[in-house]
Amino acid sequence: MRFIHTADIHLDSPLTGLSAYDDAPVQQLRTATRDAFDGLVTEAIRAEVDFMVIAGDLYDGNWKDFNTGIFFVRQMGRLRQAGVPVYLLFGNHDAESEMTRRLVLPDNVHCFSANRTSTFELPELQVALHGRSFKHAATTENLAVFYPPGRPGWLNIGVLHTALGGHAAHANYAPCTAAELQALGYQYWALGHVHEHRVERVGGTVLAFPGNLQGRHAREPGPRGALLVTAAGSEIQSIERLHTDVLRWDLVNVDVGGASSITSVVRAVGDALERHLHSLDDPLPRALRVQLTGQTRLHGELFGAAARLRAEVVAQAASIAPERLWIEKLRIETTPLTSAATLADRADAIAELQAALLGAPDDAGLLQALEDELMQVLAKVPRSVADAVPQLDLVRNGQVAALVRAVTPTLLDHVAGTQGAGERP
Amino acid sequence: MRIARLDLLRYGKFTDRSVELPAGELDIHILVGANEAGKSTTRHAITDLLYGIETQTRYGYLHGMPEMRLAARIEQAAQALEFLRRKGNKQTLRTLAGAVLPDAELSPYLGASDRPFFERMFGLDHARLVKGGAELLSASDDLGQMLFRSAAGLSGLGDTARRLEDEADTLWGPRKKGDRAYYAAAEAMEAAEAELKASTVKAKDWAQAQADLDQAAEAHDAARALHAQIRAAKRVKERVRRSRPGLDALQGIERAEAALGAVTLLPTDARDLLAQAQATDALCGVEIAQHQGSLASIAAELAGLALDRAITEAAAEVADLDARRLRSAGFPADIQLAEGMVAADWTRVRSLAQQLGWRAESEDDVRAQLPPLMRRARLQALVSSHATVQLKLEHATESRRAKAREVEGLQAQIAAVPLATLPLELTVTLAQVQRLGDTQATARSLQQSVDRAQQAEVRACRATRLGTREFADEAALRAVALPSDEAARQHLADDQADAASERATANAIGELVEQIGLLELEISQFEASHRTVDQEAVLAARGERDSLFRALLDHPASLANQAPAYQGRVDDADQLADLRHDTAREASALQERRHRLEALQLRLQRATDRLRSVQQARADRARSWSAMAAAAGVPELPAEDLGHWRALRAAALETMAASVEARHAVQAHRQACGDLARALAQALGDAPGPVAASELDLLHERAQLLQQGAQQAQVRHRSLASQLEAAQHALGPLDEALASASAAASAWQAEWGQALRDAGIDAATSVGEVMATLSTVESIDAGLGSMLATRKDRIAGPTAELETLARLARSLAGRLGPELVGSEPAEIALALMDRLNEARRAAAERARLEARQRQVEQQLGEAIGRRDRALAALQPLLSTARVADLQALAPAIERSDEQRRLGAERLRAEQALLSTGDGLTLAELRAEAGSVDPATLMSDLDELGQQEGELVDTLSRLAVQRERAQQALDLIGGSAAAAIAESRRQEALSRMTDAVERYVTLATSARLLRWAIERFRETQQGPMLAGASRCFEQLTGGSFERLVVDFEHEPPTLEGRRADGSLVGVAGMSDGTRDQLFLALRLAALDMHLEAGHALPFIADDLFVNFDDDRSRAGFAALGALSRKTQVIYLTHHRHLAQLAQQALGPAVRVVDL
Repeated sequence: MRFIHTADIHLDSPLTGLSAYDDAPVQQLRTATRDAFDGLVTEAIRAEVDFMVIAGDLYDGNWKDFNTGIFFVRQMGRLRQAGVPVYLLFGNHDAESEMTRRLVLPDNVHCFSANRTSTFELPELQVALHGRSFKHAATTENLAVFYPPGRPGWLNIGVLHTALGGHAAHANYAPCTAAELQALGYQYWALGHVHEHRVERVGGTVLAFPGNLQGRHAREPGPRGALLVTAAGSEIQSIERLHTDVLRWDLVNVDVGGASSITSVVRAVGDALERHLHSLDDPLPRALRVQLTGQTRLHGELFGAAARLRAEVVAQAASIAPERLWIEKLRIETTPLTSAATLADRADAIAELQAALLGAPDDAGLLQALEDELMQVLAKVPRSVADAVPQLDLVRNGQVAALVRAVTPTLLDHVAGTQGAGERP
Repeated sequence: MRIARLDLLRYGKFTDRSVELPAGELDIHILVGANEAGKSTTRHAITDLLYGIETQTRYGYLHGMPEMRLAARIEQAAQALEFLRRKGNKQTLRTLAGAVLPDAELSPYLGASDRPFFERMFGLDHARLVKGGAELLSASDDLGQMLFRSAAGLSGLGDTARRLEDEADTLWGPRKKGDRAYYAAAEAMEAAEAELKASTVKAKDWAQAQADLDQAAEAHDAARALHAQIRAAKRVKERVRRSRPGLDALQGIERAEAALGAVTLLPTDARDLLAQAQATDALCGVEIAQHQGSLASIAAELAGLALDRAITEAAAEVADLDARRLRSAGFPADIQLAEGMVAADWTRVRSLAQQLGWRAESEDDVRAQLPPLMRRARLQALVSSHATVQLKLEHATESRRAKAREVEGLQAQIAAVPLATLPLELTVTLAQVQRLGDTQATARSLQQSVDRAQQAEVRACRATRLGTREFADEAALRAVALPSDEAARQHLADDQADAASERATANAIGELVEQIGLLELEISQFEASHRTVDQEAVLAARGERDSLFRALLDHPASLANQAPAYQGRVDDADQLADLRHDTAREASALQERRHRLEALQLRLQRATDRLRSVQQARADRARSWSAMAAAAGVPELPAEDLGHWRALRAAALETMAASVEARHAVQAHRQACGDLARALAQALGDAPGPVAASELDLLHERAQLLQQGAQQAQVRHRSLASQLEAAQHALGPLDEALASASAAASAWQAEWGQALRDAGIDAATSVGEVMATLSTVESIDAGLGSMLATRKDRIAGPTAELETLARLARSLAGRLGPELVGSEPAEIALALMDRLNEARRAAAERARLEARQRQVEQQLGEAIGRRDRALAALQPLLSTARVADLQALAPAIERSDEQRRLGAERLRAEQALLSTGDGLTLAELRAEAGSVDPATLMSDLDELGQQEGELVDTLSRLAVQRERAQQALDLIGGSAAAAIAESRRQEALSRMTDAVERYVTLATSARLLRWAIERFRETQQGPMLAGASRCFEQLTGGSFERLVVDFEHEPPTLEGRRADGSLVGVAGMSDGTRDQLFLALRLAALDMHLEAGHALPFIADDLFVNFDDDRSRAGFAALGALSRKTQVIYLTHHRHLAQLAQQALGPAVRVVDL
């Protein structure tokens, strides 16, 4: 007997943090969550699974477009034609969604009630599925206490949307402990809510988070997908990961400490991209965050050439594999070659400039002027933009001095770097 | 640091070139080299020497990259280092012997500098000077920028800030601009939001769309059913109306067939066959008559043609004769011309022979007198070698004469040079003084060493300062009794152990607190989810039950009233007892959790106690160390700094010792100078008396002059003697060459006489006359040759050709035309050729007529055959129609065709009826037509048509409604348009975020930079401007007396003040003055740097190339002042600048030729 366990599909929620540009594989990735779900349904039909479990967050909470629901209904229709029943539990996002209440689902889709814990029994397989959907998004009570004891001799599957004792990246909804879940005597807990894949065995009980179906931003790197569970009688025999994502998020670190020019930096990035591409064992496109690191004399120059550098890196990606590489961000995280102490020892004008700048965080007039200027930005830009810019957090919290301190080393190196060869005798 | 010697071993154009740069009173060195002498190479070599040869160097062109080598001796205070620098990626620093030196070996000499810093701070060239001056102008309104630019070669700070501001401005600004990245992205976001709004379908929209579609479909289906009924009725009426004319026509055809009666049917093409046979018969008759006429005409022409067979058979010979005629037509004229040329040649030959006095009656006479060719050749060779022999003889004679004159001259010069010798004492003492070197420079160097040692001593002592206590002398430093290293190590080890224990305990407490919290939560959740009953509750319930029972026993009368209450107590107690039994496991689990909680709380208490104990121990240990350090005299010294301070003290004591040693060296040098001065005065023969050490240089100069005079005379004498010996030695070979030339001349003369005799020429004939005679003989020989060739080639051949032509013509005329025998050969050939052409034309005409005759005969036969076949083809028709001739056949064909036409018409009428009869048979159609009243048919049809038209409109309208409803619903068919729009919106947001993030960094950086420039102005303008003022006055030769700042201007500006008090802004200064202002600011900044920073050699590259002589001298004076603080190397390709430097700074300036 085999079934698919999936969760956190967030249908039609967008990929975030990506800026479109000419050579980016934009078109094929704007419907990534749909494509991933479509792939999962295809896989379910191909593998002839006995049923599918969706453990919450099918939709994105604030997403209003009913087309998403229609799309879901169509996919369920495909499973219906293949004779695959679906057991659907609503999570915190679904509880907010109007589609959850109004959409008429095909008769092969069985929804867990939000008012009480319900159990679906499949006598021919001797499987019992227990679950309770979220009634409200902010469900902070422990739902596990309402789950009934397992049916002896059957395969008992608990379906639950929970943070399971807390997770740094997710709200602590429906908190419970592994011990509590184990105590109910189920063989498998099909969990949702945590976007990272995690499977653990506590005694004879499997607690499984499949992770979300498609990574949607740089903080969700690596492969994503669902779980294909095989059981014999009431015993779980194997749990296999199904990678259904259509785009993955990777971080490419490039140490440019040895680079002698912007051109060689670009070349190093190109080499790294090529190496990264060759190291992949799947054909999926990648959204790459390229991070330049290392101690380099180009630190200040890189700061000044950020726009050009991004354009060149994008061109490199386009020249290597335009259909597979999408540069999400280029982060310049290099450090200056010359330390502040060495700079001070030289006692030249740069040292003087450094000495002056070290006093900047204590200059109330400067800080006030800077704060006034940056507060204008805060007042103008949308909240989502302001939240995504860490420096504006400092401004909002009155920590302009910290911003000044953060900028100073790069600025110094930039000023020293602008004294090019033309200045030399 | 200074460079004492620079070795350009294999670098650029240099190979093993060494430049000595010894220290002196002024440490300034002028390196002079013409263009291409390697000035720029030397400048780069110094930088490469100190910081490594650049990877992409352009100075490896001669020796190759791997072989590039530089070496030097560098000095700093009392230290010196000799090292070699090779090209490479690692281990480029070596000893002179090639052993690897660590890069750190140079660190004490280079300080914290790196290549860019050295080039920027310690280098200046003319181009940079001019650029700096120009930049002062562009920054003249911003004093801060100006000072910063000048301070150390940093330029473009304002430009950098402006670039940052410009880039920031392209990203974001309070006001919307189309080209700002943020607003471009914001527009894209707004567009995506609009698209999202348009694409988003809400749930109620979908429900409404579904209902609309159902309603439209229902209405459409009803209208369509009614439409079908009306159409059926209308179809019947239409069919009757349509079939009625067809039925009438069919009836008419049937009547016509009956009237025609029985008819023999002939083939359908019978009429065409008859017409075709009649036409063919007529056409062939005309054609046969024409062909017969043509054959008669051709036979008459053939009979009139005649043939000339004799001329045709001899056609080849006649054509050959005519070809010969054409070829030899010009021969008679050519022969006459050639005979004229032979006559002219003979006339010229005879005249030349007569000039030589020869007999010239005939060609044979002249030919017999020509000298043989060998003799003429021998004379010619002797004439050619005559000039060479003569020239060699003259040259040898003149060389011998010149060398003899040189020997005499040298002997005279040697006799004129006097020789002198120096006293031995003077030579010995002078050598001792020279070994001592530049005594004054050595004294200055030693004194500088003393100064530096004392400064180092002061710095080292300052470094040992502890809190408020200073150690200014050796005794105070040595007096400090430090705690032992062992005690410090033990103190630190104990403290670190306790600190680790403290951290571990604190961590354990944190974990315990967390575990306790979690357990308390678990207990409270357990209590909430499981109701448990303990023993006390059961006992209490039983107690209540028993007390009521006892009361009933005491008051039996109340039994009736209290019985239900008692039963309730009994039930409660039993229920609790049962429940306790049922929840015993949960209660046990709860109790177990509570026990664990108590255990954790106990562990927490113990850990807290342990933490306090460790903290107390650390505080006690700190107090103990303080007490021990106070007792040793260094209460502020932490234990971890003890080792460091001990090293500082050792270093300070060492610098004190070095300072004493440097002072001793100065004293020893003074003593040595005094001793040598006295010895030198005595050797020079001065009067005995006291001699001061300071006179040593003067005495040394006198002795050197004496020594130089003697040495120069000796060198001159040796040189002349050497030249004389060489000249005398050269006389021998010159004599031999002269003898050889004379012998060659004599041999030529003897051979010449013999050759003249052999040729029969007078022995007194000159070489020139012989050359003329030989030329005339050659002309006669050529003329005779030409006559022979003309006779052979141009007269004899053509004459023979003409004779052959005549013979052949006469022969052919005899055979073919006897009447032509007496004619000229050319006329015979022409006449025979005409006859041949005529015979050929007659033969061609005959052949053409015979071919035409055959063709016409064939056409005649074909025409007769066609006529017979056409008539035979009608024979079957005649027999079918049973008629005898063609006239009777035509009516039979007419009846047959009419019968066939009526049959086909009837078939068409029936098919038309059936095809429009909607599948009904003819009988059914006739019956249906009979059932409808023709009088009302059209009105019924009109009414039905009207009803149908109205229904069609209705159906069309309803179909549109249904389609629209379907489309509306289809739009909600799971389209991804909204998702794609949201994706675009997120992409735009991402671009907006990127723009804002970059903007914040850029705007902050730009504002910081502006602020820093202003700060620099405020803090540095005082000391730097004071120094620059002095230097500027010096550089401008007093034209400006100082620099001032105009604070009333905002931002403040820099101005130069003239002696008369007038002020000149930077913009008002000339280009040259601005250059000097920039130089003054740079030198002042460098001066300030040297006060506190590490000294390195200052490399000036042709700075004064555009200065006049006065300002150049002033510039050198300023560099001279700088050279008292650090080494100055001035590179130039203007030699006069070296002289100006010496004029400005005296002989202390060292000039080196590259």
